Amino acid sequence: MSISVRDLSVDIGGRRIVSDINIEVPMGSFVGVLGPNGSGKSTILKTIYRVNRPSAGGVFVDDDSVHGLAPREAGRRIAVVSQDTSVEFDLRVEEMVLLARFAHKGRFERDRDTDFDVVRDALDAVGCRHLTGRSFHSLSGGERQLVLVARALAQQAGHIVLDEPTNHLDIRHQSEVLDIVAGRGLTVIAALHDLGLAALYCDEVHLLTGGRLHHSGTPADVITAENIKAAYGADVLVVPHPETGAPQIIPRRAALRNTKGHS
Amino acid sequence: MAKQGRLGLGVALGLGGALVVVVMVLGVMIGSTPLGVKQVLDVLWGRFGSDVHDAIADQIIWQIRLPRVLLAALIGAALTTAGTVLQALVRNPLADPFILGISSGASVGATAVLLFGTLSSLGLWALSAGSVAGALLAMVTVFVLAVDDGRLTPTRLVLSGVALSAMFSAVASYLLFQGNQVATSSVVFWLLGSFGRATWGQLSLPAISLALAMLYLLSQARALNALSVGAETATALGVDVERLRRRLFVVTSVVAGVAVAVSGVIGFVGLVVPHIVRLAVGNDHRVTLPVGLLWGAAFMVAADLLSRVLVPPQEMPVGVITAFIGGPIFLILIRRRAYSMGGSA
Repeated sequence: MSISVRDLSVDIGGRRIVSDINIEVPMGSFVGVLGPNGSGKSTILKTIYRVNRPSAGGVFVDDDSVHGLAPREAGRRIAVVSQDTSVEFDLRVEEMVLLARFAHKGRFERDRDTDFDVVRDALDAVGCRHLTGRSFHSLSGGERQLVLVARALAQQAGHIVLDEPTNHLDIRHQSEVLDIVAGRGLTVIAALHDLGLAALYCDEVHLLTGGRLHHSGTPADVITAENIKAAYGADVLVVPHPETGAPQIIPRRAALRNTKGHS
Repeated sequence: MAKQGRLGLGVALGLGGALVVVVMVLGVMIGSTPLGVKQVLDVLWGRFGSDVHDAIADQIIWQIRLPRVLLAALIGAALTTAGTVLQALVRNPLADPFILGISSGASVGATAVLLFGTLSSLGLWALSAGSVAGALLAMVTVFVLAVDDGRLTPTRLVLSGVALSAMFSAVASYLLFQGNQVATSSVVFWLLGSFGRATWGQLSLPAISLALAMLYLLSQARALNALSVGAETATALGVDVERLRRRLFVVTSVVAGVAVAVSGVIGFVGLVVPHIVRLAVGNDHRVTLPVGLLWGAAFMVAADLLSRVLVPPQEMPVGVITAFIGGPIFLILIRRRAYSMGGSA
C-alpha cells in the first residue's frame, strides 16, 4: 500500500499547471499537499484519481501506474473524498454510500447483504447511521461530507485521496472528517487549506507554489513563517501546538506588525 | 424498501402495467366509431382462434387502432428512456431529447434521407438511419457547446439546445418553402408528430432497438447512478466515464432517432415522465428505467387518445397535447431550480 507521484507534470488546455512533482506516500502514512489557491494541489490529486492525465511522469499505486489500471481496479484501490457535495438527483443516504460498491459488483449483480453490511459499518464509522434513510439533499454541509467519507470507506480501498475535504465545514466537522480517516491505518494523501489542521494530522507535507514543489518534509520543517511568507505572501506567526508541538499559524494585523517588531 | 413515501419497484411496475393495459383498452375502444369491450374481445378472440365475426370491427381494431396504440406505447417508453438517460448524462433534470434539439436533429436527418437519399428504397430502415445520424450529430454538437472547462454548464446546455432546434427548424422551413412535395408532407409530419400512420410493420424496429438499449442500460444502471452524481465522482468510484458517455450518446441517439423516424417530433415526454417517475420511485436507475418504460407508455397512449377525442371529428397532432402538458411543467421546473441554472452546478 503506497502512492508514489514521480516526476509528474500535468497540462490542462495546453497550459502547464504542475511540473516535476515527486511525492511519496508510504503505507499507512498521512501526507499533506499544501499551497495557495491555484498552486496546483487539486490538479495533482485529480491526476491520482484519474480525472487528469499526466503529460510527463506518472502516478503509481503499489508500483502500478494508475493510468494503466482498469477503471474498476483503480476504484478498488483508491477512494476519494472531494469538496463537491452538490447533488442534482437526490439519493437516500444509504443509496449514496452504496454507490461505493460499484467497483466490487458485476453488471447485473444485485446488492447483497454483504454490501449493506459494508454500508452500515461505514456509516457507523462516521457516526451517521441514524441518517441512513434520509434524503442526501436534506442534510447539512457537515453531514453531507461525513456521508461522503462513509462512501469512500465503503469502497474498501487501501488508499484515500482527500481533495480539500474540509472546505466550507465548521470547525467540529473539519477535525471530525480528518479524525475518521486518520485513525484507520489507511494510506492517505490530502490537499488541505488549513495549515494548522495539516500540521496536526500529517506525517509529512509538501508545499506548492506556482505548480512546483517549494518545500517538503515534516510539518515542523515546512510550516515556518519564512516558508509561509514565500509561498502565500502572508505575514504570520508560527507557534507550537500546546498539546502536540505541531506548528500552528496565527494571523497578524498589518497595523501591529511594525510596532511589535516580531520576526 | 419503500421509504420516505417512495413506491417500491414492484408496486410501481404493477401500477404502470395496470395503467398501460387500461389506457390501451380505452385507446382501442374509443374513436370515431366507438366499440364496446365485447366487440374488442370478439375481434381479438377471432384473430387468435375462431373465424372473424365482424369484418368492420376487425378492420378498425386490427388494422388501425391496435397498431396505433402499440406504437404510441413503444414511443412513449422510448422517449422516456432517452430523457432519463440524457438527464443522468448531463446531470440536469431539465434535459430531454426535444429540449436539447436532438429530436429536431433526427427529423432533419430523416428528411434529408427522403430528399436526397438513394437509400429510400430501404424504407423505414433508411429513414431511421438518417434520423439516428441526425440525432447523434445534434447531441455531440450540444455537448461540445455546453462544456466549459471540463464541466457541463446547465445554462449553456439548454441554450445550445434551443439554438440547435431553431437552426433545424429553419432547415425544415426552407424545405417547406422550396415546395418539394415529398419534403413538405414529411416535414409537416415530423414537425407535429403523430401516430396516425401507424402500421404493424413500424413496430418491430422501435421495439427491437428499445429492448436492446434497455438491456444495455440496465447492465450499466449502477454506473449511471454514479454518473448522475457527477463525472469526477463516477471516475473516482471506478466508472470508465469516457467510454460510458460515448456509448450513452449512441444508445440515446438510436432510441430517440428511431422514435422520431416513425412518429415525428413529440416534445416534453422525455422531460415530464422521468420527472414524475423520479418523484415517485427515487433516482436509482435500476428502478427508474424499468418503471419509466411502463409509465411512459401509459402517458403516451393517453396523450394520443386525448388528441383523437378532444376536437372531433378532427385529430389533433399528439405533439400539441404533450407540449400543452410539458411546457408548463418545464417552466415550473426552471422556476423551482433557478438557483442551479446560473452556475456550473
